[in-house]
Amino acid sequence: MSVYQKDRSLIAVIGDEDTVTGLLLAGIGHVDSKQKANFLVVDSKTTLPTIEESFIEFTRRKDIGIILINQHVADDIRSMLDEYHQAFPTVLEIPSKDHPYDPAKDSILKRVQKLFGDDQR
Amino acid sequence: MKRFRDALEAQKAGKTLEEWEEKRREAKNESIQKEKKALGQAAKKAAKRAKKAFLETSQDGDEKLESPQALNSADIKSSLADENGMVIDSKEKLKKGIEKKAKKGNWMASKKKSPALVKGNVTADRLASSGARLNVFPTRMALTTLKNRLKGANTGHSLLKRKSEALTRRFREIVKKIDEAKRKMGKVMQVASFSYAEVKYSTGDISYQVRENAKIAQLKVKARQENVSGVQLPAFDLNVDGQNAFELTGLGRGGQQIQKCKETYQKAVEVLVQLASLQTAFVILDEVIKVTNRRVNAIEHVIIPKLENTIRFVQSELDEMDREEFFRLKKIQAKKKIRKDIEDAIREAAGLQPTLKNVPFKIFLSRFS
Repeated sequence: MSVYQKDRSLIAVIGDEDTVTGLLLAGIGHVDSKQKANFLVVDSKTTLPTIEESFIEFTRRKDIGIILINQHVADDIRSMLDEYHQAFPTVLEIPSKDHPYDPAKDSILKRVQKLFGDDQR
Repeated sequence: MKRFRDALEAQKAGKTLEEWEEKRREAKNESIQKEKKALGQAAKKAAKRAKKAFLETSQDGDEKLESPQALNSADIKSSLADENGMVIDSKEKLKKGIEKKAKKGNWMASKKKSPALVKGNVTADRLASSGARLNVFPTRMALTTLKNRLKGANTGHSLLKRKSEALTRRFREIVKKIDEAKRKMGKVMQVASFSYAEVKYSTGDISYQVRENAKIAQLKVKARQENVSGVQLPAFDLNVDGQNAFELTGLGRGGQQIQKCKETYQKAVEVLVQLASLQTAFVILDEVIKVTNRRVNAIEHVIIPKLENTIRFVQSELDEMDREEFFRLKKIQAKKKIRKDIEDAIREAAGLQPTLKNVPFKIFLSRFS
């Protein structure tokens, strides 16, 4: 496990323009030698297959440790996220400017609630 | 009672013996060879009958009496020492045969031999095999091995249970932290979005410029290992290296806002990275706890009952063997006693002193021939 973790140093992001821009400004952006970026901007024109494709690509890349994904984008590919049980890369749902964060929708938090019941929260 | 009967018979036999001896004295000329043959056959028959009686497990008085009678008649008819020797020889062979069987001590063999004992084993089987058990041969060594295995299983069970408890504790901690971090993340992202809005206001849309400028990541994560009771939990550390790719962004106006926004987002990323490592730990721990619990349950509900069942089976089987052994010894003792009684009866019938202990019957008789 530790062997292939060492290479995982990038943070990928799938989200709306503002979120991606902000995070890129912070310095997570990376474009490798094959011109593959570690970010995807989702706007009204982005199709669902594109999102799915890039999500699968990010999960398969060996140099990505964390995938950040806007929650409203995550909702579009919810079934994929629910099926995703790998430890690496970690998929993290983040709120976006237009869509406040809803813990009830988060795949991981749903599992937390399933394990401990609703009284935990 | 039995002795009394024996004595009576011995008396009868005595009479016949005397008569027979008188006759013999009278008819000395008769060929001894023929007699010997006939007597030998009689002796053999008697021995066969005795064997039958020996093998019979029923304690019927008739059966028991048959063998002394048969032996008596045979012995009496053959007053010659040689004939007696033959009878004793055949009896001894029989005895030796029985003892050999006993010495084999083979569990399967003895099981096959007597139907009564097989029945006993079957009931024992039914008692022991109420659940699943290992396929072992019931020996003392197997019992020791099984007991050791049971001990090992118990130790393993307690260890695994403790591990599972430790992991669960850690798991709950992490869950609590995740909950907190998620809330914190919401706030941090809000602040970051707000600062980006400021940038937009002061600088205009920089998103295209920023995207084009992204070449090499400045913020990178490094995976670190954390050991929780034998489980390697990963944790991400954020490290900043390389140069700022956006130093010149917003040079015209709003540069300050942009740098501020960048810092806010960096802080946000820090929080996100923390959250991500917590989440990774959560996923891995979840998996490990499941596996551990499965193992604990397997040991508790499958392996230990199976071992206990097998131990019970082996023990019952060994007990059964002990009982068989005891019963057989008793049987041999009884047979030896019958033989001694017969010999005594013959001695009495021959008008000799009964039972000189420790003197073999053959030698004893040979003194008087």
